[in-house]
Amino acid sequence: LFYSFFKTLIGQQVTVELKNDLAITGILTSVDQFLNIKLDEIRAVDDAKYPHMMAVKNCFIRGSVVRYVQLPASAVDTALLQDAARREAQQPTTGGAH
Amino acid sequence: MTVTLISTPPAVVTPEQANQLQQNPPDSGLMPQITHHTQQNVRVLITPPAFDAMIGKGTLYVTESKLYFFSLDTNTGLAIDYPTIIMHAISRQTIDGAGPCIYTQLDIDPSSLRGANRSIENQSEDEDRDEMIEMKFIPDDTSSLEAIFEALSECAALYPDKEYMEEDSDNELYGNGDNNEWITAAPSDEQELSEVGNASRAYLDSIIDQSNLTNLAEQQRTSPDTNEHEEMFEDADE
Repeated sequence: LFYSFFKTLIGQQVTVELKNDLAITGILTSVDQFLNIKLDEIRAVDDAKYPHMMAVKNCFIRGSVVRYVQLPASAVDTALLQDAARREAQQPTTGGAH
Repeated sequence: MTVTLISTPPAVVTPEQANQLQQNPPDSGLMPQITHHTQQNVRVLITPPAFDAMIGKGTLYVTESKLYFFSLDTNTGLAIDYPTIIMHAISRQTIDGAGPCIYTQLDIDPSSLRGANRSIENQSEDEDRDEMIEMKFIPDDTSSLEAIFEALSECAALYPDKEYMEEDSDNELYGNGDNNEWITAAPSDEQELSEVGNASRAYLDSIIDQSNLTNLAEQQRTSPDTNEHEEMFEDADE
């Protein structure tokens, strides 16, 4: 479900917070089934703390190190997502959100 | 999650050579590593400084099993497991005399990097405290950065983490198993992108039609008020 959900967000600006406390803002360019994320036009949220990121335009983030993904509120219909998630939980063997 | 010092270079073949080898397996039965990209004349720089100074310039091998770097000058190198690489990127700036490079962050215990003469392992109770381990690969040929980045992306995607495999067994329905599908927004694929977006929306929309009525009460309690919501309510009233 969330793989499909992230696919609908491609092209939007998101902020990814990693488990090592680094937060990166960028445009979501791609996502795969393991929720590995590629971002474009990135900048570290706290530039002064992470100067090494300033030269980086795009990056690949391993899905397992992501703590949160912050999304634009306007891009998400929470009721829709709630509902889809509920249905997904009720269909453990046939869930397939293509 | 390991970074290992190596003293011999890896035996690598290209994917095409690997296909031929599979048809005619070598007598020893040992398959060399399949490399997605090999780049010579690369320097490695580790922050905070560790044993990179002693490795010197060498060749970067982006293989399907590990990321290898080996220097023939010093006969030493590194073997890095892909799950250790939490992020990789292309950095185009020139900082401290180091030109454009592949910037990577590694998920290992910083203090273990300083013991340079043995294999290094992550200790789970000792994750990066405030330090982040960065490893930069600076090729002499700057135009190779895109290819190295793509090869890194392909090989990193071959190693999803175990927690994913355990939790989401029905993820297999989303992807293709072996062939990791990247859904991207490449300019030529705009048509496809909107189709994908529309397919997802269509699926989610179909859910809404069926269950909107039963969920109204819950939504009034828990969801924020948005215009879209009011529209949904209107649909239900019709």
